[in-house]
Amino acid sequence: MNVNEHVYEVHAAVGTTLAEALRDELSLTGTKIACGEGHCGACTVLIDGVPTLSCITLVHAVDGAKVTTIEGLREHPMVQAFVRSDALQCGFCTPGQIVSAVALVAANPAPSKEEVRHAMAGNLCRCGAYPKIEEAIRTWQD
Amino acid sequence: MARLIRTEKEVEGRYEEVWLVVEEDALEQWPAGPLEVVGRPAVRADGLERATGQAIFTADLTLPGLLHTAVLRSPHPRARVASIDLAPALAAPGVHAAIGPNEIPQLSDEPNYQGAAIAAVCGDSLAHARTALRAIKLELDVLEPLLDPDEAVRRGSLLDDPRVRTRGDYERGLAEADVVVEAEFRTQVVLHNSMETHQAVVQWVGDGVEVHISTQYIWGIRDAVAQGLGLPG
Repeated sequence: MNVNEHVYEVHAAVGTTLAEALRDELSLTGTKIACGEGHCGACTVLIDGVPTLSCITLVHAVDGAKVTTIEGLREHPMVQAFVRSDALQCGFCTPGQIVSAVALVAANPAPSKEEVRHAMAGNLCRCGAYPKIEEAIRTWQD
Repeated sequence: MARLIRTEKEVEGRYEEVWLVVEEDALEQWPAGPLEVVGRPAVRADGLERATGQAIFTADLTLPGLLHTAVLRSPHPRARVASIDLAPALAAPGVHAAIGPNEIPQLSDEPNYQGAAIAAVCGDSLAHARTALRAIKLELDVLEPLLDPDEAVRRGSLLDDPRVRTRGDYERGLAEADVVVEAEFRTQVVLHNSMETHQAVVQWVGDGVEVHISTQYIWGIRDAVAQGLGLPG
């Protein structure tokens, strides 16, 4: 499995999700499992650059693709944008938020407010960081 | 710099408002030091750790030989356990233990909300524990829930003694007041339910336990765990 530009050999039981494999087999615990049902977006990773809900993706279906997790985005300016704008409180949804945001600005470097809200609609936050998240994404290049 | 201030002057018990000229400078309330911090943006101390996914939440914690527990929860707002058989769960693969109602105070034979804990199964993995949970034979008598707080008060159906807070001399305050305003304020329970999933990771260290848990109530947890395991608090 190719994760963050590194090739890992992973042995997982049939039915193991990508999220479980990342967290339990590879100890990449930055990707979180919150709802476990594909509703909240905390488990968002990129598969060949496309934001994907890893908690409802089977790890065996990912063979051959390039997976990017929050650990692979440490140097991305979006991370500093989130920290600067204080776009987090408990931080549990934050890795998923950043992964989705990175995909958004890769396709659209200066999204409007509406474009941000539409693209980020799949990432839920229960602490109230939405306004700051929006600000971080709109100022990520500053 | 001189300035004008308005103040009260008292002469033989009579009060009047006067304007006075005050010669000295106004007191500097915020000397140079704190102004460098107060009123300036600050970066959250562990913001980077959380944003990069490096921060270890309880859910991310794993220990060698860790067992996993799944909890059987009531699907009804109010019910009573008519019968429960844990034997099939104990016989399931990978299971180490199972406990039922009243073995600990937190497992109830009359679960009184949807999600109240009835039994728990411990296994080699969460999958083992959850599978075993489904094997438990449980019969519940579904009861009528009591949802109206006023009705609960009328029936005297309370979970705890009512708490009354007083301060000072209430009756005298009322008697001496110029105006008395009475009002009843009601609100529902509000709980900040942040996204972090809640769980605990516990390990024996010598004769004691080390508990990692998602909570703000560490002292209460410590006391409850000590009590439950018969350990000194």
